[in-house]
This record gives sequence, structure tokens and C-alpha cells, in this order.
Amino acid sequence: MGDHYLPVDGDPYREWWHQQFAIPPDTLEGCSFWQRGRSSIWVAAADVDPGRLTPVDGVGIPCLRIGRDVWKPTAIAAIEFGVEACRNVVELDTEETRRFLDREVIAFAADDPRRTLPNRGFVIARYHGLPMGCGLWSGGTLESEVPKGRRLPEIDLPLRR
Amino acid sequence: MHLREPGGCGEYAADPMQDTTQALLRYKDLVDDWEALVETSHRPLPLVVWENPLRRAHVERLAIATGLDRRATVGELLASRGYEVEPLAWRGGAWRVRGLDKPGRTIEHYLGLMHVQEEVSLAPSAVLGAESGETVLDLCAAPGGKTACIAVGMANRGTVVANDLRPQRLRALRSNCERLGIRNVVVTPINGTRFPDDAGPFDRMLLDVPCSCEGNLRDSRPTARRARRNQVEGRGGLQATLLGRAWKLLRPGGVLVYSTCTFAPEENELVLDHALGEDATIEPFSIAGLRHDAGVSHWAGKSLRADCANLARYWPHHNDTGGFTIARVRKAGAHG
Ligand SMILES: C[S@@+](CC[C@H](N)C(=O)[O-])C[C@H]1O[C@@H](n2cnc3c(N)ncnc32)[C@H](O)[C@@H]1O
Repeated sequence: MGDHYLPVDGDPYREWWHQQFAIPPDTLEGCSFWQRGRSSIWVAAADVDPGRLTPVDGVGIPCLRIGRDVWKPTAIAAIEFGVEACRNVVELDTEETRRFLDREVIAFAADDPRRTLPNRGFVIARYHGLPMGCGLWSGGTLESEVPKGRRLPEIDLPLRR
Repeated sequence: MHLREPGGCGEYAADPMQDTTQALLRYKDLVDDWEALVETSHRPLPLVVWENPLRRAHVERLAIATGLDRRATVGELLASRGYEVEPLAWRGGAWRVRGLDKPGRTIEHYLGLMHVQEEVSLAPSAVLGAESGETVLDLCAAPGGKTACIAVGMANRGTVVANDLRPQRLRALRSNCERLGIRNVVVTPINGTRFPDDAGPFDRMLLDVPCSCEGNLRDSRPTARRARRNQVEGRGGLQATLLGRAWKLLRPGGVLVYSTCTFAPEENELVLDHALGEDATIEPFSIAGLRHDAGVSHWAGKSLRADCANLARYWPHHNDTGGFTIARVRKAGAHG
């Protein structure tokens, strides 16, 4: 159950968040990065120190899934850093946000201005500028990547629109 | 040793009202107003939330979208939607909220802008006083409300090792810390009685031991009732063993906070009296706005360490909270 978390050079991951979502690099400057297994990258405080503890079951918060050709941000990191994102962001209205939190696939009409997003890739879904998680955008549809454990279609969304 | 099995009063009657009264009978001599204690214990707990300062940018966005001033607090956000909100008397950034039946469904909760936590269980982290950049051990940490308070209080710097024996409960802890954006927590699933020596030394420690949970009598959720019934599984002396182990991992001059959500001296003063030696001092403390009673240095015909009187016992009827007992213990040696 317990795993090893190894400290890794954070530059490739800071760069990825910058490239993918135009998040200013200094947002992730004061962080350390840790790798668990082959594909799980975690982000933690700069000075966090697990010392010689073993087993360890978490260092900071999960941040990225690497290891495939496309890296995937975690929902929690999308919420964490997504306020500052200015690229690959989809703004959702109230009804869409509810469906997003129900882990649905949302199709956008052909004349929807949001369809100008690139063809395929991970995006941050926002509600009135608030990052709600990440989704997979492909040719005009948004597939919610909200983890099952955080699914919340009955969320009370207080804002109009 | 006269340590009570954690779970000594685990056998409750079917009627919860009667359970409560029964469980409290043994404190008639310890408390100023037993009838008030019983009466309060039969009322449900107020709902309390605290704002997560790590999510200031998110709170600001929500405030602006709501049409409030950008500096609006989570309390003000909830008030703007018609909930009745009252700031805690003793701590900023936390409120009692009336009318919010399902706090887990709010956008504030989903985004980690706030955490729901019983009022008096915010006290141990305040008494611990961990500072940014320190190394802290929370030996019995799940589901992590107090870990979150400590970690957030350290402004996401330093290290909080959050340990618990139960993997299921650790999942809840991780989920809470992730939702709140806490990055200075390291999670470990180790039996606290065998926590390794070379993990230390720690600057501060919270030891929020498993106990018979009498202070939770007001919590009527099924999980809380189950927890009270599960007391029977506890083993006598576990609390003292955990304290003995933790003490070895604390640096000289370091601070350990021992807390239980129970009133029983057998799970508080007697444990400290048994497990602490001459290199320990139970320090006096008080929290302005949160009333407590002193600990006892005599119980059931036995004389205890004099500094046991420095324990703080929080009775439900004094502050309209759950019940709690807290000791702040300093280890001899270099301060600072
Ligand atoms: C009172 S609860 C802790 C509550 C927690 N501090 C919070 O604020 O959310 C006690 C915890 O001790 C854990 N526990 C019991 N025996 C233990 C042991 N030997 N080592 C470590 N943890 C233990 C239980 O699983 C339980 O989660």
C-alpha cells in the first residue's frame, strides 16, 4: 500500500503547466515535485521533508499523470492552479457546470464561440472564473474528468447564468 | 495502573437520550452544573465552518462574481445567500452557520474554500501553535480536521506528518487535504505505538488519541454513534503507550499537545501522570473567549502530578460546543 515518493526536478512540470494553461511559472516556483511509481507526479511545499519515513502514502497533492504521450492534470491541481489559467480554459454556465460535476460529456453547438479551442487536449473547466476541474476537449465536446469520489451534481451553484 | 479501557462506557442503551445521561453520571462531582451539561448534551451541535486562507484567490473570484467586495469572507458569502452567520467568539475566520443543512453541497466546500469542523476541535491546533517551516507530527490524524488546521496555520510551509493506523480513515484525510490545497502534509499509515525513532525529532506534536468519545455525545450522525459504540475495541493503556512513543520523538524544548474528546480523567490526567516523567511540564494556557475548567490533580483517591491541574477541560455547556480535554506539554531542554 505504501509507496516511495522520490523528489524530482520540477522544471519540466512547471513548464508544462505554463505551456498548457499559460499559468505564470512563478505560481509553481515555490513548490517541490515528487514522483510516485512510473506516472504519478505530486506537488508539495518547497521545504516539505518526508525524511526517512516509510511507508509514505502521500506528499502534498497529486498534480499530473505522466508516462503516456499526453500528460493529464489531476482535477485537484486544476482547481489549485486553474484560477490563473488563460489558455485551454472552457467557461461553463450553471447547467453545464452541474453536468460537468455529474461526469457527463457535454456537446457544444456548432455556432458556440467556445468551439474555437484546439482540437483535442486537456482543458480546465471554469464557472464564473472558478476552476471546477479538468476535462478532455475533443472536437466540440467536453468529457468531464471529475473523479468519481468528487462527483457532485446536486451542488448548490449560487450564481446566475 | 488504573487506566480505563478506552471504551469503558461503550455499552449504551437503545435510547440515545438515556445513553447520554447515563454516560455523564460519573461527572457529577467534576462539573459545576451537571443539569446544564446534560441539557446541552441533548441538543445538536451548531454547525461551524472555517475559511481556508490558502484559497484566498478563489474566495475573491467568488466574491466578485457574487457582487460583493473582493475582500469578502466565506462568512459574508454564506450570509449573502441568506444563512444566519455568527463569528466565533475566540477565533477569526470561522463562523457558526444556521440553516445550512448540507454544507457538503456548497461551492465553497467543493472548491476547498472552507472546512466544516466542530468548534472545540479547532482548539488543539491553536494550543499547539505550530509555526511556518517547523516539523510537526500528528500521530492519530484521520480524518484530518486538526491536521488541516495545523497545516494551513503553517501557511503551506514546513512539514506536517499526518499518521493514522486505519487506511480507510486516511483516505478521508487525504481527500480533505487535497480539497483544501494543503501541500505541506506527508501521510503515513503506521501503527503509532511503533512509530520509528529515526523519523524524529519533531518540533511539535499533536496526540489526539482514540478515546471513548463522550465529548461527541451531541453528534447524532450515525458515524459518530458507531464510533462511540466501537469503544469496546480499544485496549487499556493504548493512550499511554502512544504518549510514551510520541515523547521519544519530540525534540528537547518541543511542545506536545495531548487531546481527547472525552471528559474521563482516566483517559486524560491519569494517562499523563502515568506516562510523563521529569523531563515534562504540563503548561498552563487559556484561549480568550473559550472558557475551560482546570484539570484535576486528585481522582478516585489517587494523587496525581501537580501540573495535571493545568489541563483544560472544555464542557459542552460552557461554550455550547462538543466536549474536549487538552494538555500542552513541554519537554525540558533548549527552547526556540
Ligand atoms: C480521535 S481520532 C483522531 C481525529 C483526528 N485527529 C481529526 O482531528 O480528524 C483517533 C484516531 O486514532 C487512530 N488510531 C487508533 N489507534 C492507533 C494507533 N495505534 N496508531 C495510530 N493511530 C491510531 C484511529 O484510527 C483514529 O483515526
